[in-house]
Amino acid sequence: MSDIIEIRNLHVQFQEDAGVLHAVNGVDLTVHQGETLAIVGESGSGKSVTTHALLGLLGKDANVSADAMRLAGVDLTHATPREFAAVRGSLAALIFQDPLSALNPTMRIGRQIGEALTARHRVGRAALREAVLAAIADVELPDPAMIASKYPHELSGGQRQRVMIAQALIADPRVLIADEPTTALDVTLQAQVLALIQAQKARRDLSVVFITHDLGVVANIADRVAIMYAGQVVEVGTATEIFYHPQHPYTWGLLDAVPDDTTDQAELFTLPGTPPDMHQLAVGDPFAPRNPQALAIDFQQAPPVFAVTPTHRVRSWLLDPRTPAYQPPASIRRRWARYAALMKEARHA
Amino acid sequence: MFKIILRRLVELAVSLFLIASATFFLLAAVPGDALSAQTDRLPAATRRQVYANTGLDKPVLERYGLTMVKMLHGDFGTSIVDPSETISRVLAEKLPPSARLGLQEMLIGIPLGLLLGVLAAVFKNTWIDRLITVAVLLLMSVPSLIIALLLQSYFGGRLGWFPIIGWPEGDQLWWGGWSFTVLPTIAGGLGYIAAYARLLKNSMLDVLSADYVLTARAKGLSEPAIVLHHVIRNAAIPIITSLPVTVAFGITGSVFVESIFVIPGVGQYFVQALTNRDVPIVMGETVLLAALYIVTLFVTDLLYMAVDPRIKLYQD
Repeated sequence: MSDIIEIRNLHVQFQEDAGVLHAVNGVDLTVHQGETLAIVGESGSGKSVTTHALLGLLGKDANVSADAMRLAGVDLTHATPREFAAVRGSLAALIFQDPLSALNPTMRIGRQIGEALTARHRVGRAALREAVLAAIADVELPDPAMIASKYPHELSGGQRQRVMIAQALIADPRVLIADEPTTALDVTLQAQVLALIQAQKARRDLSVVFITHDLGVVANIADRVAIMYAGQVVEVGTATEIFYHPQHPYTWGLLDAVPDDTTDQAELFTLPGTPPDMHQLAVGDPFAPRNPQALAIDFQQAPPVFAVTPTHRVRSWLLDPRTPAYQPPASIRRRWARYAALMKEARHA
Repeated sequence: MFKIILRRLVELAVSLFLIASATFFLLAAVPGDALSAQTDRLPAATRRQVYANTGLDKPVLERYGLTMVKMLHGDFGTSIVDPSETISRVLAEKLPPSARLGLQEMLIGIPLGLLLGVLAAVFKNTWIDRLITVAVLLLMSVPSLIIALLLQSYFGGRLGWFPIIGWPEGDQLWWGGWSFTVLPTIAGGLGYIAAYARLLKNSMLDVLSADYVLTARAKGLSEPAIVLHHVIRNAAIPIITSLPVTVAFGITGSVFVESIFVIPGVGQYFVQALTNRDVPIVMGETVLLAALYIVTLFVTDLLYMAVDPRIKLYQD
């Protein structure tokens, strides 16, 4: 499988009045052609910053460096603003959390969608209108001509998110980066928007990067999951590996915080503490202060990345062979048991 | 549209009535009146006579009633200080120079200010932004009075390019005699440049950090296209808010510029009238300013609706 996105050792710092904010600290991330990668983490964990850095969307106050950044074969490691602008929309398109604030309130929908085409090519009026109406019809909105003539505030939340998707897909990008696209929607609309993204992905051979803080949403759509904490990917693996064989205590916390059929209501878990102050680089593992399983070394030395399987990598000292025997929480042990059963089934099949 | 205008006219009438009443009673509440300084040393009988002639001897409420009834007929009365002056004559004579000066200042100052605002926002944190910010700060903190004097002494005195004082009259009241108007226009216009540059810069910076600008970037739009199509129109909305005040005050004269350049405008005359407690003139001035303000507010509403589709003020 070829990689549509490859990011190696990405660092992003923001120059602030209060000091330097270390937003992303050595992120490695790949997205395979045609898959959905979910990036999961708390606010401020660097999920959005990572994708914005890849597309050159960070402001002048951001200091971006990476060993490699590639998007659909285009090397963006040292790209100029012009080169970044050339790939945005055409190779990778973005949709955002709040479609009301992400659409220009004083411009008609049709024109906003059309801009994604006219930004790069000269398109005749008739052809542009046809393309815009087709894009609106494509996201299953009724009466495209009527929608095109509306302003954002005249549409419903679900319609607006569909418009965002139409706008993102009209230039036929290879990658769709969805930044919390369902967070502002109610549950029914969430399901509809997710289904729409899935359908478009299948039809267009899109690769999807799905940024969210909600593991529950991820379970239904992700092929692989990357868990981010304090500007690092702390665990990455296939959806099965993350959900049924999680290794990082932070992932355990996230899983225990989501109610599902393996947790009792009484067990619903709240991760203690708050995310670290990103103005200071942590000594050791940034997660150590919130980690009930923390070892002495966690406070002294940052953990390396350990490979559990070729697809499953974890940044935690727990995986070091010298680590004394430990017990994950009961809920996680139940997940592991299910994973063992799944693996057994797979071997028999 | 007819209904809207009708409603606005009723609002205008009510507002003007309230403003006129407030002005009248505020003036009545201030100690002293238009005649007290002149009649101080007169014998009591003569003083009573003078007061009786002007009607100032009547009780406040009676004077109020008389004034309002006369105003309803469009008669603001004559100046108490100079009984041969009426507000309409003052306006016919002194408003054109003030209005022309104000219009010239605004027509040059506001577009220039907006342009500088756009530049400062687009080139934020570069030398262009810093230069404009410092210049704006300087212009806002140095009074137009001092700038006017500097302009006079340098361009009028040392270089002799423009007349130091005076204003075109007669045939050239509205058009021509430009050399007289250059220095006053600059002196008054710099304030507009500073105010509007600052206003638009702040408003542009707000819009530039809006989510839909990020969306526009994500679509691959170039920066100039983003500023042109997405930023300017949205950034203009707060500008529209401040326009009515600017226009209303702009064309009713500026005290400093008019007195320094000896321009026969209304600005200075009205301040004089206020210090003299010349009630009829002050009432006329206040009502005029208020009417102008309310009309520009209406125009502002129409502009709002043209610029921002979210605003629907009149749903009938």
